Amino acid sequence: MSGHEEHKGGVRYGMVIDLDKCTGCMACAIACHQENNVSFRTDETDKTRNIAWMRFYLLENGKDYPEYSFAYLPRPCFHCDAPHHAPCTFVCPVNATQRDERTGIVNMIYPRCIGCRYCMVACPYHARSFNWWDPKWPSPMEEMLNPEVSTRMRGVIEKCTFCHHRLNRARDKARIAGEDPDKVEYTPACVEACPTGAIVFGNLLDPESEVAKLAKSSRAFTISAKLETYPKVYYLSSKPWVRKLADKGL
Amino acid sequence: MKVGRRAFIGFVAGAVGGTLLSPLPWKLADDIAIWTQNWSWRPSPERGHRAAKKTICTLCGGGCPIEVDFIDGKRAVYARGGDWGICSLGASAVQYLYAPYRVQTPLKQTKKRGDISGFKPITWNEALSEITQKITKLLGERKGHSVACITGQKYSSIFDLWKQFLRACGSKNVFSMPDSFDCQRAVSRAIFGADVTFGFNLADVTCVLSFGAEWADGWGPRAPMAKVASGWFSENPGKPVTEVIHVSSRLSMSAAKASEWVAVKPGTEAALALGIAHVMIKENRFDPIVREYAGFEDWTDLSGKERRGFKDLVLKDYTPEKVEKITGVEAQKIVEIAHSFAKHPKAVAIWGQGTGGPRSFYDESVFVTLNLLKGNLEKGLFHLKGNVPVAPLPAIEDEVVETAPRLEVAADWKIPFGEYSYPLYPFLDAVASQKGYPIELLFVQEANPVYCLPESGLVKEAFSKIGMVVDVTSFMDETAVNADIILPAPVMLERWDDVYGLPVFAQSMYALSRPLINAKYDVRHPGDVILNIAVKVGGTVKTALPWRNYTDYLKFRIKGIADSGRGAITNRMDELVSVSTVKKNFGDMESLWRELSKGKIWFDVPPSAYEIIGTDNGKPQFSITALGEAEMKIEKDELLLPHYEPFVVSKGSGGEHSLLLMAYNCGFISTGYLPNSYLMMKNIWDFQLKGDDIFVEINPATASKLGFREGDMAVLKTVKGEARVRVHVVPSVPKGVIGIPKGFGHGAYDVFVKDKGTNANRMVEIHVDPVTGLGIEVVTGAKLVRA
Amino acid sequence: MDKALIPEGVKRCPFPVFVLWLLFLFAVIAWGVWAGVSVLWKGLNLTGLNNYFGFGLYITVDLGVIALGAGAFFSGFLFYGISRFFPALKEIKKIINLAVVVGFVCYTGALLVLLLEIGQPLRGWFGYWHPNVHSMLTEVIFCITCYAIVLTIEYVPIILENRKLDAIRPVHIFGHSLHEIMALFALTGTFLSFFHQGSLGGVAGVLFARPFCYRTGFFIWPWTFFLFVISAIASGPAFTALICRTIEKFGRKQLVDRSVYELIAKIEGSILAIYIVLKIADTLYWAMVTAPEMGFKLTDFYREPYGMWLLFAEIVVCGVVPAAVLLSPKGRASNTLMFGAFFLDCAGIVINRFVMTVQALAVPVMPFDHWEVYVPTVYEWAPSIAMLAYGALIISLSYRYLPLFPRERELNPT
Repeated sequence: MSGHEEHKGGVRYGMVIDLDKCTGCMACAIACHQENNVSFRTDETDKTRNIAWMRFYLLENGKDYPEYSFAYLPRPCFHCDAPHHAPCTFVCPVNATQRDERTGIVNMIYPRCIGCRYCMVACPYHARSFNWWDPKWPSPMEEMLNPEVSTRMRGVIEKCTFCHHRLNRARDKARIAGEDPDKVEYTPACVEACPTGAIVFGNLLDPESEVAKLAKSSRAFTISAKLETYPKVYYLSSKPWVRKLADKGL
Repeated sequence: MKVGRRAFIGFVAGAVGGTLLSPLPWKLADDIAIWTQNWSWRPSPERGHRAAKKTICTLCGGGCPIEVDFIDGKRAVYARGGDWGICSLGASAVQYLYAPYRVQTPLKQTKKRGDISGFKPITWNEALSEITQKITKLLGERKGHSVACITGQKYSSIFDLWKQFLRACGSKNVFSMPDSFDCQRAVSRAIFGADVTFGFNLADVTCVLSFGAEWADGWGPRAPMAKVASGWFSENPGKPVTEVIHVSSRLSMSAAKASEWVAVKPGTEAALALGIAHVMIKENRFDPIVREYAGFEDWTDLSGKERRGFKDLVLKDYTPEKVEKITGVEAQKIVEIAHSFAKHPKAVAIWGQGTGGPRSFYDESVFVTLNLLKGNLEKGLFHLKGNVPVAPLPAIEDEVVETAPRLEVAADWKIPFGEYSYPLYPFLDAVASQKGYPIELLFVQEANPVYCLPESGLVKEAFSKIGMVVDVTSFMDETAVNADIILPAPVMLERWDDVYGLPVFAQSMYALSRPLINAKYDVRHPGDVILNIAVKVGGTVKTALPWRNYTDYLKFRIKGIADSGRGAITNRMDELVSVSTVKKNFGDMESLWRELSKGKIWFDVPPSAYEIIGTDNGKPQFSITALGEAEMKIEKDELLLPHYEPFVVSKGSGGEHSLLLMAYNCGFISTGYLPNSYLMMKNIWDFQLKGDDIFVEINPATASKLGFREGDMAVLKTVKGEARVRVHVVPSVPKGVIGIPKGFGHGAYDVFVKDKGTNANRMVEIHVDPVTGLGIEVVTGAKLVRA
Repeated sequence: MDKALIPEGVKRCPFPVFVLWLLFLFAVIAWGVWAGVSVLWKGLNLTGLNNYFGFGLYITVDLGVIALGAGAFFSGFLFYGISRFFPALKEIKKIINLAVVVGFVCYTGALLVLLLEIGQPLRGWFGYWHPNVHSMLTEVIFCITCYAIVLTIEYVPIILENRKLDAIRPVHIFGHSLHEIMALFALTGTFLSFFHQGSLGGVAGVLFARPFCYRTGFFIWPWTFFLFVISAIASGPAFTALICRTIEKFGRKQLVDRSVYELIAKIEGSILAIYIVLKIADTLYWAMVTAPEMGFKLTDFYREPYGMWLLFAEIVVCGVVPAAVLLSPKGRASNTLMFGAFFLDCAGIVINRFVMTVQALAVPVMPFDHWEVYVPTVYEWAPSIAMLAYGALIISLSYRYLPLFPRERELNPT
């Protein structure tokens, strides 16, 4: 849990990803990119240029055959909970990316982004991708675009939003039903897709939630915790070599 | 009026100043910014109500429930799984629906076969008439047997429809695309005297000993398998973590996830299993019931000849020391694994092949015996799977339509258990070498043999000898390009289908996939294509297929289930993978149809093995007597027992191909009928594919010996072909082994997948299993030279 | 042909030669404009930038020229601000005009390149409309705009000193009045530029999740604020001096008294010495405290091609060495040593800006991330080089037609 309490509401959406359960099927990324109209190009192998909201990193134990081992690390946006500001929201000159203090979600306003890429530079997790090209879908694939998420234009940054539009839908539904919109639960696309149940999502501030319990488990860790970015995405692993890769250490 | 220079400058300065003071620049700046926010070339999806519709996924044989979100019921935008989540294929469902490479109308090749520019649109009537004429002509010449079919839908009723259709034409040449379970019916026939497949109770085990069963990379139905496996690694109160021991040569994802990975020399997994059996038998740590099984002790065959028993074979020939020599696993380690496996009350042995295909007959029978030694048949961990009681198709007697033997039989292939497998490679070999009789008409249905089958050279050669190729497909794939007539099929979400799901799991399962959207193009269901042709051909072919359309046929099939009264329907996925008792909860055919079309799944618990076992004494047997019956003069005793049979790698002239090429499957790469979807391509690692270059994995030791560094270009050569590749130096493969991923190097579809890397199937060599006739792919002799 | 425009009593090269030179510059500029328009039209995919290197050559060049252009504000500060207290600084007057021109070209040039750098240049003004007060870039946008305006205002009276323009009476009065109040603008400019340099330092220093950049605070967070300001003033006047020397070499005549160079050398030597001490202290604190707290060793930050040699070049070769040379009377006495030291000084500051921009992004932060290398394309080089050509163009025109150097006539009697 982040070491500060300045949240306006009792909600802090967060995620826990069990790396021991993840079998690297990458369905989470496909569901995410499908849901969020993430564009694709003929060559997606240049990982320094392609757009991915859910990206995979390879963890290796550094040993030789047959002691070698590896694991995949799925990386959404961590929606950093650092006090006052996330690294990225702190630097955006035009307030195109901000953290909603009611939910803890770091959002992106694409039509406001001027494409200076300062946020991308600020994020050490490479959670942000820049639209180097005009996004295009080969005909007739525009038909599969989800109207709940606007497509982006060339020259702006995009990133994982914890499927913020699904939260909005859930909140609208709660309002109509006369329920408290701040108490809603919802499921982002990646969580929904994961066949191993390795991804758990929910309110980190609700001590009864599974996500809060897992985030406090002894297997939990965050990536580069020493940076004090306070990611709201936690990882789980029992393997010492995996945990060792979480942070740089002297 | 004369305008002086001064005046002009003054005018311009005044104009600029005035404009700047007016609201015009600010308004313009604002308008331009608004314009950048609404660029017309940026797609803006039409708004509407988003709602989900349920169906069953048929993209692999899994039969998982899925929900697809539609906008105003018209546009599919998103696919999600049920309780099981979804795999990367299922999650790509709508991408396949809207794929630009879909075939939109029947096409006819007007130029040379393989020339994509030669395809001309024709009407359905023209296409079907042409095919009908061909069949009618063949029937008239009493050459009905020269019609053949390769289908990609093995776990669907359409397989039986093809069989019926071809049988009515007088042909037995129906084949399906290979998968990991092809060999099981033959092994089952040998050991249990029953023509069934196997199922495991994987949800309730404490130890899984996996011999190359790449459960994280496509072994079994992907999503359910992942779900069950996640249970293995969950620490829950009262339920210890399942010990997963993975045996393979390459560190796959399954191996990396396992509690322990045992690295063996390529293709020697069965030897290790026998080493484990040795320890268990020697230390008397096995279920004593196997002593009652024929062939465990020494036995006498039908001719009265004394034969060695399994016990003697294992104790003498597979000591840990001997197995160490074969597998490279230390003797002490073998003993430890055996102890671990023996110790667990609920330990199960599973098997597969990293390449995705079947293993050899003897290999698989060895793995079955490990389960027998554990008494898993009695413990309910290892099952003989019950069949789904769909209505059988009306039999066609030889008096009505005469059939010729299947091509490989006519071509003199001696395959004792060919009856229980679909020996595609002997068939292709016979076609290619023009033995037996010629194949005049080949139907390919929703399969891509030209790309997917290992040793693609043979496939192409065979195709070139076939009179006419008709491809019933949704996509412009490699096989379609090599067809004479292409018949466009609807994709999942546009059609009715059924699926007998859940290979690997013990329960039998049946589900219906319903259409959620009108077909986008001028397509026909492959089943309707068969029925249409049958009507046009007329005569016995028509009467043998009496259904008006495919939906009618499906209802006919479901009636069988309804009438049997067996099983139950559910929408709870956990019921499907853990054994329980079932109680019938559905009515007649109509009501069962309604329930199934709502996305419910019919399932049944496996029957008691002893109801199915068809051996002489009603018990499993180690002695494979059926081989003795098959008129093979078998001298060596071990050939009648589960044992380890080394395989021979062709190393080329002078043994120049001294490295071993090992192809592998990845859970996030599609290697089958469907190409990688657009968003799947996004996930491919940059150490697997970079630009258009594919990477092969080599061990750092191999790299330094050959002088390669990470990313270097190289030429990979095998006896089957050569390709330009890049080198990825990684210790996931042992010294001397080259790993190559399958699923790349397509020669069709569109620029998003075409010519990306190389097709591993082109490079590898197939060994035809002498017992089952199945094509076995293990490793291929190769060399890697500087490009 | 253009005799009438050339200041009285000075010698300039023949007009055709000048035209040839201009044509060359225009060609370079056209090349840059072509590249720039291509980038605007087709997008930043033409550059070597990527999701790892969000900043690259454009920003390096911008930061570099803005630091070097700082000669303008600092010289202005010395002359207009404090020369009344330190009469020795009156000497600066002899080069102040050039300093203003250099400042003007650096800042306007930087603005032009910045326009290319952002993905949505047509929305560039959102920085004024939706400012995020926390963002260093907001501060940069405001300061750079204001200071560019101030420099324009400072540049105008110099333009108005052109013979022909000065002959027009209202223009003369206007120019003269501007001169009167120039001290005010110079001081405003100093203040703005001070903040501007500081905020550029902040741009890197506030990246609290980037251990290579991040610095803690000293009165102001982060202290790269001060380091950038000091380094800018330690190099700006040196850059002006270098340009002046270059013009002298080209024109084969003396434009300012050598005493001006020596004064600049003394000032720059002292400031550079202070800067380099602070920079070393900063580097030590960063290497031994800040970075280790974030889990990083110094060696984690350097790998070829961005090796330790960069650190050595920046601090020792281009820091300690020129400071020592400039502080020693012997060093100042030798033209080679003095101008060599000026050059090293400027190079050091450019290395600093490069390192804080590009190398900072090459360093992987996640332990399992890659070390990436950035290779700019011609679409980045061309506008950057064109910007230098634009600077050369403005300076050439100014030198030819404006009385930039008050001592030129006396030093070169005809």
